[in-house]
Amino acid sequence: MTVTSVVAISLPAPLVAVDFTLPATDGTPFAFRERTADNTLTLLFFGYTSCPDICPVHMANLAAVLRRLPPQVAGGVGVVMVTVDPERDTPERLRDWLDNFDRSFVGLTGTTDEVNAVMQSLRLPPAVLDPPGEDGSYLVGHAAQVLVVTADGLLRAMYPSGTRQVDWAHDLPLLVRADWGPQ
Amino acid sequence: MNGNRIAPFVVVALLACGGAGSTRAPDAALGDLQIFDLGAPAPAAPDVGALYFTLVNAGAEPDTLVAVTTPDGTAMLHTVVTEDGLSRMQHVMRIPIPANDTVRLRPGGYHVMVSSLRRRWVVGDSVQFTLVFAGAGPLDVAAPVRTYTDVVEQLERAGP
Repeated sequence: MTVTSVVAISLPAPLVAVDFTLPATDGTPFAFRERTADNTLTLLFFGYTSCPDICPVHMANLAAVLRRLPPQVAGGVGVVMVTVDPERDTPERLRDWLDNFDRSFVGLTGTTDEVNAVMQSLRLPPAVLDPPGEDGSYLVGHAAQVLVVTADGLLRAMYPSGTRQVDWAHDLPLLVRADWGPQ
Repeated sequence: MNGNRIAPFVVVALLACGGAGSTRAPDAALGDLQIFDLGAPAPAAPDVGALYFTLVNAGAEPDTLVAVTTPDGTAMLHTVVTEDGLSRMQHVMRIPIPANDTVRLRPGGYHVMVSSLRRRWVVGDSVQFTLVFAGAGPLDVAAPVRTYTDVVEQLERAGP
């Protein structure tokens, strides 16, 4: 990897192949590997719409930076978010939420077991639902990294929550141009 | 090109508003406490909001933020904790404000979460909050509703 980043978490070999199918917000099955093969990079995130902080901030930052980057960089980058709270995140709610940031962002749902199985395949811990508060709402603990997946379907790096717009603006062009080489 | 010539001035302007508590006028103040960068992002979800701000204590006495209330919903002080690969928001009972120090409520750290929103905040709205300090007492503030992007950019510019 030729990208020098101050925020990216690089991953030890062997790299994990990202290969799963979950229902998209339009109800059709979304086979991640096939549907993202034309992207130079896909940024994959697991979150939930009732999250006031980490999740909307990641999405807002990515949307803002991608809008500002040159089309030859931004055009090769896809964003996919999988809900870790499928009980509350109906396909409609997830679609509305993502549309606040960018209509091109893909939203995926599934059952809790299906989503946890995908996370496990990526060596991420399953999400944990906190007990509900007085008003019935609850928080969800979840892996909060944005995962960088290359066109060959390999998970190459992770960006933690707290990654700023300046970090993305610096790294995304490098990630898009990087010669990742064989695994 | 015009755009190229303007660019250096933009950079200078961004640096000039960097230091909280330096030359900027605070959004609100109470005794030695000053509030900057107040911002409530227009929620992407219909029922959950957040409030961010920078708190400067210019005095020699520490204080503590013990509560935030708003007529628009249920406000709670939160922080983000990451353990064993899981990030979760955690309710905190107080946020300490050391003497002569700055505390930033910002994404990924301390923030105010507002659940059970009674109305949907849209960009341009102003939301009333009361910040309650153990020492200084209550302070009413009006937070402008801005896009998540604008709120985050302002906080990024405000400092590390």
